[in-house]
Amino acid sequence: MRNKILASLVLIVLLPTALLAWLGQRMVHNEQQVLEAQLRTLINSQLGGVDTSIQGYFRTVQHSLLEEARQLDGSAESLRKISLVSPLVKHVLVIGADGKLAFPAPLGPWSQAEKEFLQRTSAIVENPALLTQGAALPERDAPVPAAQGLLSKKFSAAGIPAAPQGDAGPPALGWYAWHWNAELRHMFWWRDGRQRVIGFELAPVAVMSDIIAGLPATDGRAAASRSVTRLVNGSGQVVYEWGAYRPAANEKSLAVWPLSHPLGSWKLEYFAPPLGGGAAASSFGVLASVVVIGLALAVLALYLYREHSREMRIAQQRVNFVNQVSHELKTPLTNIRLYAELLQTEVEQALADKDEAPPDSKAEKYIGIIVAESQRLSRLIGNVLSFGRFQKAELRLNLEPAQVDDVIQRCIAAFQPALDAKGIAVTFDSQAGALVLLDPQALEQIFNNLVGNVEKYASVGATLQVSSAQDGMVTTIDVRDFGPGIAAAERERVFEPFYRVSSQLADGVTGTGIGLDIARRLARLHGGDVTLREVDRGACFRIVLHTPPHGPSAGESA
Amino acid sequence: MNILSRCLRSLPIAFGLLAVGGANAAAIDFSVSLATPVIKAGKTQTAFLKVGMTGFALPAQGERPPANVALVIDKSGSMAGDRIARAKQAATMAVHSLGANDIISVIAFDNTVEVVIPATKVTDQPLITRAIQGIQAAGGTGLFAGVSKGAAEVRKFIDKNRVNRVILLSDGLANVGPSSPAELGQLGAALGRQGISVTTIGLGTAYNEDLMTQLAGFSDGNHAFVENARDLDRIFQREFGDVASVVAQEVELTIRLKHGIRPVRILGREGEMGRDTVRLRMNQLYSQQEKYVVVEVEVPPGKAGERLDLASMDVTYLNMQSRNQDKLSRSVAVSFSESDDAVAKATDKKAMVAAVEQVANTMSKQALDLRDQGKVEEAKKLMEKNASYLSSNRQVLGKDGEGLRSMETDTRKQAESIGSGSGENWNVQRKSMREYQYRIDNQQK
Repeated sequence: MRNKILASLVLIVLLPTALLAWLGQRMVHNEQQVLEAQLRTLINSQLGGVDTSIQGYFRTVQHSLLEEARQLDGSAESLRKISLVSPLVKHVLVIGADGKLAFPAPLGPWSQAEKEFLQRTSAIVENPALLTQGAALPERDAPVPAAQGLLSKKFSAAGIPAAPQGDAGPPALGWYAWHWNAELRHMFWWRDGRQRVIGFELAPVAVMSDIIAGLPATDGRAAASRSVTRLVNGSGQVVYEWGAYRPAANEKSLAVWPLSHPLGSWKLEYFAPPLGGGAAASSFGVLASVVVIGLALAVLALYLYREHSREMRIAQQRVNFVNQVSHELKTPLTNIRLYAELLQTEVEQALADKDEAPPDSKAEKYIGIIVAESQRLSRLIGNVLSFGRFQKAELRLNLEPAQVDDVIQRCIAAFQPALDAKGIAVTFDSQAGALVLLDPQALEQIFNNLVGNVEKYASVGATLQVSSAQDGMVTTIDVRDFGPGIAAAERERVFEPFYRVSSQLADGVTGTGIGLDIARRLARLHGGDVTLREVDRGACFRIVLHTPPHGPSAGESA
Repeated sequence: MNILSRCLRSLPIAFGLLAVGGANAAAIDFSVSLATPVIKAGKTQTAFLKVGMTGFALPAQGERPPANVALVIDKSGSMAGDRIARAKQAATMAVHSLGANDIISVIAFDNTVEVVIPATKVTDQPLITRAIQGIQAAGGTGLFAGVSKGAAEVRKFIDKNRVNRVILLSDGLANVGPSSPAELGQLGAALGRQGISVTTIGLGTAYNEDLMTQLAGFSDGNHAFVENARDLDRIFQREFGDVASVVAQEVELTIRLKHGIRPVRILGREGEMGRDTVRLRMNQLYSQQEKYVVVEVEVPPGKAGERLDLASMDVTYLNMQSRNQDKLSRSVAVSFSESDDAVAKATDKKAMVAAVEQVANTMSKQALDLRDQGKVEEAKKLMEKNASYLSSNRQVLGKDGEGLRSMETDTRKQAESIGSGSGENWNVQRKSMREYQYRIDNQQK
């Protein structure tokens, strides 16, 4: 019992605490995720902005190159001049309207640089369609931004109309990017009025330098730059970085942004110290409140437990007191009974000797009452003590060879005066005469309790029928009365300790309500049971006991 | 033949006078000469063509062109201590030697780039010098990015009427972003084409001299190797002195060879060689300083007594004084003779000296490449051969060849060190050799 209470109290404390802790942690986790998502959105928009600015640069370059292109008069001379003078354009490629190489001269002679250029662009020369499939930058209607990079002040960007690019017909211009010797190279191409495709190959280093020049620098003083953004090329090398944060060697980036065409193989990587901080603070808060609530619950549980223990102790004290009292009463009562019975015998003897007194003398009557009442008292004390012992699980059977009918007969005899006083006639059908192993005290107590009930509640029926039967190891005793009976709803409840059916009949009658409980427990202890049988009138209790036969059944029946 | 060569030499003057025409401003001195105006007839010969340009003198009281300078300072971890202190001091001195009409920007780089002072007029010098003093050293070396950002600052106020320059102070090996000499050379070329030259100053003995010289060379800037940080003061003095005396920018030279004459190689500069044309570009020309290029050409066999037009050439440039675009043209002829004596007597000694220097310099570079590949003995042999080549030419040229003597001595010394030096010692020697080669290439003061 104690363990169950303890277990449930512990549960009261632990369950809510655990639940709270789990909920709190989920909340912190969600908060964290929201924060991270917000941060990621912010970072991505920043990176997107950088991408847009790089796109802007390429657009400016495009406009300037188109302007440069206007100065071409188609001669080889002007083409060579461009590659010498232009800061970005190192080589020019011209594919004629027939799809064949027009410049540099297909048959040579070529300078060393031109040779290498043709090597690099051999794939394009072989298949010019490769070039014209190159995607163009998205067109914008916004005015061209102030020329930046290596073209500033050389080429005014004012008044250049956007190159036409309709859905109809093949694309008129675009960017082509390819790798050569692990270096990313760009070619800007367009179609001229004579259906030739002209491509400007840009110097990779110059393009890189321009892009770097356009990216943000690092502000040495700002504590806010606790992050670093890296421009990473197609081989995974860092080309440029800005920001004061230095990530560890194998730290993972918080965000990666692949750049748009024509820098498609490059990307931006963003690093910053992990978002631990905020989480720690709210985790701490959650933990603190969980601990506080846990403590409060623990205190409550402890208080409840102490109260419960106190009450249990008080109840136990009461029970102990009752048992103690009963025990104290037992010895004087035994003496009273003993001497009363002795006196009864003496009186009968004396009267029988005198031969003059009528058999029903007053002395006999008085003595009879004293004996009966002292027996009743004994039985009551016996029940209480038994009950106490059952509570402490101390009750044991003392088996000895005896006859069932014998015991029953004795009990009936003892009850006779009381039953006669109430006008109850007793019949005993005795069929259990064998010598068996039995605890006579127990059987007595059981039987007496049942008969006592009949005497108290069923005197209206005026009849008590007892029958006994034996079958092997089982003895069955029926105790039948013709009183008011027991209602169907109460059939099980009557066996509960301290329960007394509340009815006009029962009110005013003394009793403790433990009789049937004791009877059943004793019977069960004896390997059997006491059950209430269904009868049309009155009540019938059946006692079943486990009584193994004892030796050769050579015994006299009572 | 002597008369011929003398005529040839006077041609430039005549042409120069004609070219100047109605302009009052001075023009650069454009001269072209063949080392061997007379060559042996009957078989294919190689000849050296020297094309020289000399900046005109600026009037003493004249305003120097305003400067537009970006100081790019390496603040990586290896600069900590004495070097960064000296660099900051030199930068401060640089600020003080500029005037209110000049524009300066200060960029400091390690892994990342910090723009300490964005491009601004030099009006509040204490502010600028205070910011310079605040630079701290730590981190890696993102040289490419640093120079790019410096160029970006120069570009903000780039003007043909200003001298636009990035001055790089670095000691370490570049390790963030593009870091090879070829890539930095390409960057130099790109910047050079738009009129920004990069002067590189290498501090200490750990820097990559090939990278620094390529970056400076392709953009027509200066290069200096500074072993002790104390030398910085002197370097900056020279640098800003230079800035003060640029007289021509965006110099473009085109040489057209005739009659099947082919260009073989260009010595001392980078240029474009076509089937019969050579194109060169120089960023800047300084007052009273000559910059030249030597082109080796192959002449098909000629008949004795014949005289051919060898080549015609023109140069265009922006005159910093008159703010005009000038153009000058020249041509040069060659004659053939059977007589070796005649050939020898006709030799243009000055042109020959220049040609020999350049050829020797090329050999020196080849020797250095061999040494880099570990072929120490071969390198040494080549340098010794180089020294002999210089020696024999010096003797042939007689008193005009005296100018080759110092180069010959230096070459012998370098042959010694190339053969024997190793480790740290060789490291320093190599840097010296590179700087030497660079100066010969660029006629750097």
